[in-house]
Amino acid sequence: MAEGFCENRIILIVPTEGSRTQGNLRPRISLPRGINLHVLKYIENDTKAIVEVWSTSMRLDEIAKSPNVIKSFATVDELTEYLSPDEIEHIKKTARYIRKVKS
Amino acid sequence: MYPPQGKLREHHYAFRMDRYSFAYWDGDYGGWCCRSKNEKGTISSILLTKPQYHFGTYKCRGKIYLGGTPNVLYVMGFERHHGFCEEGIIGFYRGANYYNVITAWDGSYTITSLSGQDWTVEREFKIVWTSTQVDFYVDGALVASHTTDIPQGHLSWMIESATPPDVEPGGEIGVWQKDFVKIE
Repeated sequence: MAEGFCENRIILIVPTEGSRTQGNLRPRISLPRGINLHVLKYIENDTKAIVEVWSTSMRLDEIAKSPNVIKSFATVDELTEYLSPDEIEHIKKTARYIRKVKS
Repeated sequence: MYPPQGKLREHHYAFRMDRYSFAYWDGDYGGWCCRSKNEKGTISSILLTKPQYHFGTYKCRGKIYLGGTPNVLYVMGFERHHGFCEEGIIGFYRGANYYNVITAWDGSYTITSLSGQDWTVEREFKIVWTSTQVDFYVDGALVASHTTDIPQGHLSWMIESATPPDVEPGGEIGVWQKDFVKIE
């Protein structure tokens, strides 16, 4: 049985679509089956999103090369241009990914 | 009728309570609530016994109360068999230290612990459930998407409050939900 925290993850900055008032604000990125996504923060008046994509079964190289990806980062510590030190520490404490696969 | 639309006899509510917890309709809030006292291992849940929900878009409003540390507080959930979450579940829940979203099906599960959340004030929760993906929204913005362990069968509606099984939570906890609706 595979279980535990997933460390196969990468951080991307992507444009957004929709709006909060319409109830459909979201990052503009397609997820292949097997890859999951977590929005760390919407930035620049909700026009961009910092997202973390993660997977226990798929490589993330291809999604990082998607046309919509503006920048990519290996860790949240590299996001000093976009996040305050407190925000970075908060994300490091709270963001966590778990997948358990039935044997 | 809450939830969903239809005749009462078609929807069998089940209330799970014990000596130190209570699940009831809160008229002041205008919705359902589950509360647990400062005791270890106490659970209150409300659920519909018939798994009648399938792919679609659902939303509700809800909040939690954190007088102590919970085991789980499900503010919005769909499940296959109550108490057997690995068999099938979609939900927003607060764990002991994290705000989580979960999908599970047939023994496998996926959990994302979210950043930047505070559900102690009322929020709007939305779940967009398709055969290949579940999108989780809070207050009109996507917070997470899962493409793994997506439930394929029908699920029932539920909310739940549970304290840790082996330690006292340190105070009362609870969860409230109202205005549940299927949008699409």
